[in-house]
Parts: sequence; C-alpha cells; structure tokens
Amino acid sequence: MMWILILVLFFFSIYAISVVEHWSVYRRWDFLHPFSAFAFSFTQEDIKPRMHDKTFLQTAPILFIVAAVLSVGVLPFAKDFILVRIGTAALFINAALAYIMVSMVLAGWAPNGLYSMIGGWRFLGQLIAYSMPIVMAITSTVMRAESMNMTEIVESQYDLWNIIYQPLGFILFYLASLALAFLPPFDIPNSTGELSGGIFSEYTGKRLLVFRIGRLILIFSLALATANLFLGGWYGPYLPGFVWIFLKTGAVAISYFFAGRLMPRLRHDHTLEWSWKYGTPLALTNILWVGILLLL
Amino acid sequence: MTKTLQKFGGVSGKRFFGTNILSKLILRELNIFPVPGENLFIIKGFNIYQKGIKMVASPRHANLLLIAGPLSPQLRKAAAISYSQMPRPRILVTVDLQEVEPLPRPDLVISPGELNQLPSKLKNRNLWARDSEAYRPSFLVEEFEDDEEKDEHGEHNMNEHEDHGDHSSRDGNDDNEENGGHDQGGGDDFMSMIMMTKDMPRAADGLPMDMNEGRFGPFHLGLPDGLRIKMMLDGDTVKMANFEKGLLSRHFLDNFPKDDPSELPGFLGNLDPLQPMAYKQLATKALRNTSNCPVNANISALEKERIIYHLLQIQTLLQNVGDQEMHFRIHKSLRDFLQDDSAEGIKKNTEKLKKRFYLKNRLRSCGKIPEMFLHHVSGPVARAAGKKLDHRMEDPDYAPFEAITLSENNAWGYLLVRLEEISQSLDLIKKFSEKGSSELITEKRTGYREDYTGSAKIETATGTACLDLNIRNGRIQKIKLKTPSVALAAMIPKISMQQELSDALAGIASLGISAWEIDK
Repeated sequence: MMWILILVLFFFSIYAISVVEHWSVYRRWDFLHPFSAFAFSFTQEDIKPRMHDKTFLQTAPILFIVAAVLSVGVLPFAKDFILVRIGTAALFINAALAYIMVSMVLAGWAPNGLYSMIGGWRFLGQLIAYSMPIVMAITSTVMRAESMNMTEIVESQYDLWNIIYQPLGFILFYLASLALAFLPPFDIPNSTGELSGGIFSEYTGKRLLVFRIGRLILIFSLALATANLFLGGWYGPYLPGFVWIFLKTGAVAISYFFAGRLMPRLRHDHTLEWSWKYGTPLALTNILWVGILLLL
Repeated sequence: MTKTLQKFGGVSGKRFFGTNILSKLILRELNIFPVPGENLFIIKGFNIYQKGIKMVASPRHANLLLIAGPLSPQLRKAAAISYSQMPRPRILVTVDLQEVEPLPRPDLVISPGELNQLPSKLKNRNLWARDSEAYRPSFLVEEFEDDEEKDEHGEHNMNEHEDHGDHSSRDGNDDNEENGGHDQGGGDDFMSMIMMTKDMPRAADGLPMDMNEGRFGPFHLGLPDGLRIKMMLDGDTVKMANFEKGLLSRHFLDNFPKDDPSELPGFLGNLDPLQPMAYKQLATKALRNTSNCPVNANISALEKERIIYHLLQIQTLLQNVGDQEMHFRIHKSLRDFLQDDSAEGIKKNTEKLKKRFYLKNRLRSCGKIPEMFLHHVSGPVARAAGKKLDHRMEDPDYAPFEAITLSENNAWGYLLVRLEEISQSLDLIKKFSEKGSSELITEKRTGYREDYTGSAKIETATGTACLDLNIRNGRIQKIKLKTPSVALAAMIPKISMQQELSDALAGIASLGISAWEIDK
C-alpha cells in the first residue's frame, strides 16, 4: 500500500515538475500542459534525419531514461523504502549519472546534425567538469556517515542536516545538479536561442517524448538526492517521513527553475572554468572541512 | 463542425473514436515556428507569452508554421524547407498572404489583428487525414536527386555511408538536412593517427581537425529575422562566418514609382516592416528638398519606432544569451508600449537590465569590431565604440540634440547605448508631444521641382540611412539607397573570427541588423 502511495507521489512529482518548468519558460500556469505535451509528442510523426546513426538514434533515448531511473532506484523515499538497497549506493548514484553523459553524447551524434552534435560535445565537457564537485560533495556526506549506504547517510543527519554541517558541499552539489540536468543557466547543450534546442533539436515524436520524460525524472532524481544527502531525508516534524522526502524533493526541484531565472546562460568557457578552477578546489576544501569537523 | 487539415498536414491514417478529443488536447497549445522570426509578429501585436502559444526554435518541435511577409523568393524556399522538416500533424498559417509558393496552400489565412486569436481559431481542427502525404517540393526533390547522383559518382567518402546507415531508412520528410555527415576518418584497417589526420585542415592551435560547415538562420530565434549565417566551425570555434547573400534579395528598389514622386514615401515605407516610418520619412525628406513647401519630420513617430526597434533587438539578444526572465519582462514592456504608449515598464526594465547579474561579463567579449573597420558602421554600434555619429545632430528638426556615446566596443556597449537611447527617445517623444503635432508630415505634396538631384539622410534605429534621388521632368529617374545594416552585416566575419560559437552568435545578435535593409 505504501509503495502504491509512493508511486502515486512519484508520478505527481514528475507532473508537478513539468508544470513548474512550463511556467518558468512561458510564465503562465497550465495544469493540463503535461497531458497536451504528451499527446503532442505521442502522435507526432517520428522523423529520422538524413544519414543518421541507426543504433545510436534508437539507443540514446532509452539509455538516457534508464540512467535517470537507475539513480532513483537507490535513493530512499522513506526510512525503509528504497527500491534497491545496496551498500555502495552513494557511489552508484554517481555511476548512474555518468551514463547520462554517455547517452547525451550518443544523442548528439546520432542525428547527424550540427546543432545536436555541438550540443553533445558541450554536454560532455560540462558533465566531466561538474562530475568532480558532485562526486566530492557526495564523498563528504559519506565521510560524515562513515558509510556509502543511503539510509546511514540520512541517519547521520538526525541531529544536524548536512546543509548546515557542510553548506559548501550543498551549494556545490546543488549547482552541479543544475549543470548535470542542463537546466538554466547551464543549458548550453540544449540552448534554444543558440542551437535551436541543441542535442534535442533533431528529435521528434516518441524519441523526443522519452528524452523529455527522462529529463523530468533526472531532475526529480537529483532533487531527491539533494533531499537525502543534505536536507535530512525523511526527518521532519509532524508529518510522515515519506511526505517530508517528497516535500523536500519538490522544493528543491522547483527551486532549480527559479535559480535559472536569475541570470543569463553561462558561457561555455565560464562553465568549465568555474568548475575546474573554483568548484573542484572548493569541493576539496569541503572534504577537508568535514574531515576537521569529524576529528574535533 | 471540425475542419480538416490539408493533405500535407494531417496525421496519416483513419480517424478513430477520440481523434477529435485528441486533436483538441494537442491544439490546446500551439508549438509555433515563426517565419521569418518573432519580431515581425510582435510588432504586429502578437503576444508570444499568451495562453495556448509556445514559440519553438526548431521546426522539428513545431506543429504550426506561422508566416508573414514580405519574404524574398529564397526565404520562401527556406520556409518550404522548414515546413517539410516539420513532423505531421502540422498546420500552415499565414498572415495576409494568400499565396506562399513553393509552400502549399495555407490551412488558415489571418489578418494581423487576428494573431492573438490564433489558438481559438484552430481549436476545432481535426489533425487526422486519411489522404495525408509527405510534402516534397520539386526544388527539394531535385536537390536531393543531385546529391544522390554525386554520391553515386563516389564524390563522398564511402566510409561515411557505411557508418551512418542506409538511405532507405529516411522517410518522406527528413530529406532536408543542411549539415554534412560526421567524418569518421578511418576504415576497418588499422591506420595510425598521423595517417588519419594527414590531409585534415589545421585549427588555429595547429592541430589537425575536421571542420564543420553550418548554417544558423534564417529563422533562428536568437538572430535577426531572416538573416542566415554560414559558419565554418573548428570544434566550437568559428573559423569563418558570413551572412548568406541572395537569400534576402527582393530587388525592392527595382519597382520604385517612377511617374509619381509623391508615391515614393509610401513605397519606401514598405522596405523594412520593422522601421516603416523611418524610411517613409527619409523619402519625404528627400522629396522635401525638391518641393516648394518644406515639411518637418514627425519626430514622435520616429522615436517611437526607434524604441520599438531597440526593444525588439534587445529581446532577440536576450533570447540568444538565454536570459528568460528579462526576455519576458522586455516583451511585456514592449507590448504595453505598443498598446497604449505606456513607458513605465520600459523605464523599470531598462534599469534592471543595466544591473543584470552576469550579463556584462557575458557580453563584454562579444561583438568587438576591429578599430580599422569602425568608420564603416553607424548607429548604436558606432556610438558605443565612441564614434559621435548620429545624423540627428545635424537635423534641424531635432536641434538641440546630443548623441549618446560610450567607449565600449562590444556587445555590452551596444546594449547600453540602446538602453540609453530608449530613455532619450522617451524624452524626445515627451518634448515633441508637448510642442503639438501641427508639424506632422503629409505624404501627398505637389510642386516638385522638374529637375533635381540630391540626397537625404535619416538616423534609423540601425544607423544612418541615405537616399539619393534623381528627378527629371517631374519623374524619378534614379534612386539609390544606402542602408546601415549592409555595413553592419559586413562586420559579421570580423567579429566572429576565432570566437567561440556562442560568443559569435551573441555578437551577431548584438549588432541589431535588420535583414530587410539588406536587399542583396
């Protein structure tokens, strides 16, 4: 029964993220938008671009959505509600997210179009750069919990959430999540004003639909990871744990879209520079900070 | 009663129970690909943020192609390619254009006043059509036949074909890719890296690298409407960029009114749909010198047009650099101004834009025109670089007038000058409205000198435009028009060379080119 409830909340979250994303771009609330967008993509003709790469064109959307779902699989929805309980879950999240990169590069290459190919390259550079802050921020939460098990990472925050304990780690993880989900201002790979949609510019119909749903799941999974790693997971007063998880996840996901409205899109070189020159050293500093706190 | 789409637009297959409902659900939100671009529709009063409308950047993601003129024959062809790239179901709507050859007959023709009712006008369409077929205009079929012929003659690298699957997998609509294939640079046999890269062109850093040729535009949301840029890319770096000539050629001036000079202002006013007043007044000014009754320029109308043009260009630039929030705000301010001349939003948002986080950093490295070419350009671009070039300073109608200049020869500087000029224009409108409108121009005038040769200049939103006029026996013999966008477009290669692609595109967008002024 609980799992059915969680499943309903999961789908509702995906729906809500879609509505908020639509608002953030078009500045109007349209609660039927996810349904009309689904109907639009589902009925739209599937066009295969000229001289496309057959294998990659078919596999990239599937790989993308699978990678997004995989990372959700190891994250807790409540204390004892994890789809797959593994001891190295924290490491697994990072490994699953790496496949996002693979799928995006394949997706950019497959249609044999310039815009999508450039989008793919850009994403490759962006994800490699932001994988470092992500993995290091996760490492520092693992250090505190002295475990890679997600339940233990959440339990380590019983007294004090990681957002307070290691705020720098939270900021880095949050920003790197935006980059990983290519959300504004990190939307260089799929920018509309520059590359006419970039990676997705040549995709239509059901393939595009799979990408769009996959991206919503990816945003959800990153928000869920933030909630578990830094916002105390299921801990919270009065309400049941799973409600807290969904509330925190929803709040983080919604905040992504607001953050994107604060500035223009980052330049590609700034995106890489900020990560390698500042993000990665700061992530190392955060590890040092957590280490010192643990020794005290 | 539900109307069906034309044979090229509907989803092929039988209608089934529920297709009407499904069509309604899809048509709740129209995914519009605007041709030749957003600006032309915005100036006609279209609210791109209204309910039921979504502007998309790729024809692949659109279900409605919205077209307005004037379009050159080549732009019509480009529009036909975009239509053929759109997946079905697709709808073709034109604004006051009954014939859009080589495109098929439009599904709906509307007037500019009906633009905002577009969602309601289409909501009862059924998107399924039993006899639906792929759209393959003859010129495109010929092009592909030529391509295939070349392939057969082995002009392409055979590895490319093996690596990218067979041609039979493509369907009727997908034959319109402009981009070349990816060269894999190697076959099954082992080949060393040195051998593989032996004949490859060298990048600026000396590394052998395959170059990609790409086209941006002519219906690109982040570039001026109708402008197509051809680029040679070395990775993400621009090796060469230039605007495509011929695409914009309408031979507009070939049909100037020879017999009746008083028709010239109306004729020239059709040159640039984004700046009709400026060109109308330029012609009036040129004729003024020939007339016995001098007229004064309608400064309020000119300045209003300048504000609108600057805001449209700023909006395009913001679209290009991905500032969604400011794009929305500027669009709203522009709409308010178009509706009831309300300047409150403009004042507020131009100030906000000047302080926008990161925007200065983003734009400062883009669009820098080399010093030696600066004398070719005029308008906000020249003034941002410190050149005090503004014809309004010499125009007695404006006296006293001081041009705004800066020392920022880059996209940020161009933006700042436009923002300052918007405030200046608002002040000018206020000043000249107080003076009253008794000095407005009148188009129909008589008493032109029998023989006259001379010229007139006007400061448009893009720069100084100049019209040379030759009248003999009361008939116009020859006219020559020099428009500022031609010089601005000539700067595209100069500002793009060795720039990152995104910087080059932002630089081009920041020039504020009006493609209609380029009749080449």
